Amino acid sequence: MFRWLKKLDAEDSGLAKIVREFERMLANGRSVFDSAASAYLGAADPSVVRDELIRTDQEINRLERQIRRAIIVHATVYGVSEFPACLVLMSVTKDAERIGDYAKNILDLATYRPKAKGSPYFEQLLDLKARISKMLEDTRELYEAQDSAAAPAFIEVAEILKDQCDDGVEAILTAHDARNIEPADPASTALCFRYYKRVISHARNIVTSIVVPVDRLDYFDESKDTRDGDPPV
Amino acid sequence: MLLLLALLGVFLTAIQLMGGAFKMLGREQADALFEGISNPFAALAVGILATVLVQSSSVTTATVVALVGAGQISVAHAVPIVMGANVGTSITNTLVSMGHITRKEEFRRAFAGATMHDFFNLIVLCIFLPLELATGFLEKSAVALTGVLATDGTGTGTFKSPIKVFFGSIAGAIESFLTDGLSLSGWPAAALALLIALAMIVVALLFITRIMRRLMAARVERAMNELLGHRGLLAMVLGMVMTVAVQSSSITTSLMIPMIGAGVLSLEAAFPVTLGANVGTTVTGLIASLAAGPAGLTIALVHTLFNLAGIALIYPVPAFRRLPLRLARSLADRAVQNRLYVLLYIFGVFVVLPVLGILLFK
Repeated sequence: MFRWLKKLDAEDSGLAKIVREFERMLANGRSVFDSAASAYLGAADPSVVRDELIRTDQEINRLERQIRRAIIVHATVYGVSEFPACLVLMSVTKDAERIGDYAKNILDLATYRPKAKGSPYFEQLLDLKARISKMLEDTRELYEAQDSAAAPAFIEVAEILKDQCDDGVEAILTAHDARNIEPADPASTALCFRYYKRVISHARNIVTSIVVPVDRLDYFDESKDTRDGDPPV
Repeated sequence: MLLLLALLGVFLTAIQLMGGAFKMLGREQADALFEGISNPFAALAVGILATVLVQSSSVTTATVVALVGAGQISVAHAVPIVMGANVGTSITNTLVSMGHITRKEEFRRAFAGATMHDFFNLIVLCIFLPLELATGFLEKSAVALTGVLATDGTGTGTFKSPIKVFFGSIAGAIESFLTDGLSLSGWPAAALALLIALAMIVVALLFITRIMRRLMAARVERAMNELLGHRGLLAMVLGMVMTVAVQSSSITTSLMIPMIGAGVLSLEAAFPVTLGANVGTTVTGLIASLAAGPAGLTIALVHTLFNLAGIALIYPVPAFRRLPLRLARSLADRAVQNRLYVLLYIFGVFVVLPVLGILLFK
């Protein structure tokens, strides 16, 4: 009991502890994305990575619930002065959780054994996978450092990658891309592009929280357009 | 830390000053003033109402400790007041739960979380007040404990606390200022001394609580997070430690209400914390008794023993333990269907009944 009471004296507490748990969510998010995308692109056997991926995703979900509880406790104890930080954490935690969900969706695509390697989009998907993986690591680092100087460049890159994903989907849907080649497995390729885009969007949302106020979370571009002239509501 | 010690000094001086104020009033007038509480039900009602009005059982019990310590009221007469303070203090978290009233399910949980404290205190009161009136077991136990604790080694139980002597001299200086400096005497001097003492108690406890809450915020947060994963005795100890740390059971119990309302803390997990808070809050009376002498210590110990006895009776038996929770849930269900129940309950228990008690039994 005394050891338990002594825990109350530990240094590790408050928002700092919540942020550390959030960063664990992001690290887990990157891990599940890498596994799922590797499985989809044929670098790993989906049946082999599935169990570990599901376990990690469940850990992400558990962390999200734990963070929510901790946020309520923190807001209750510290009151209004901590509300903005709590609201931001509530929002970005949902984004981190969604990354895990989309990784699972990509794994589901992989389970149907698409002929990704035969697809003319294979190289593009492979390149995007590497860049998104790096992006997820950058997301964690930027958030940890609250690096507002580097955040806009990250967001810009995220927008470019999102556009590439959209282009990939559009090309498949219209089948009139420059190469004019049907992908080997059009449905799963389009979905993979779409899920990549969602992962990028959620990573971008997390990073926007570093540079925009609470009410503009997830809307970095719109805020850029109106940041100077927009009167407070 | 220095500020805290200074506030503690103000608090202990006020305890001494209050006793002195009644001595200035004279025995006959003081007796006439407290005649009304010779009836235990009137005393109980005074305890509830006074605590509801000042929103702090610590202020009520500290005042009672001062009065008993100064010999103005007997321990037997003070026991129902202290029991009433226990009931009155639970109004604070009930009022806090009203903040959730616009969200139905949240309010159901929050109101049940708040009123389980009320029901526990009312059940314990219904059992122990008649028992105490019939046997005086709490008073006898506290007197025996006082004999052990407040002794100078001779076994006489007449230990003269140096703290009491020190703060008594400061209180004496204030009294001298009122009588010699302002040339007051009789009831005007006593009334002013009483007002000053009450103001000092309220202000000192208010600031001690605020400072402790700020100083202890990180620990309280850790404790609350720990609480989410624990039940039973550990949670009870946690509630007690937290309450001693922030010097207010209302803070401990009120902090849990938003967590209960949000659904992250169950009634079953919060209940032992509430019981721990009940015990933790009695420390203020024990601190006050440092400046109030053996009789003051006795009534402070009655408060502690009363709460410990309540826990010992209710908590170990699952059927008993579930009773306050069931009653609270049942009331919350009704309150959600019809908000009139909320008003009837709060005004009935905390205002109408005590006022009627005073009017009928004084």
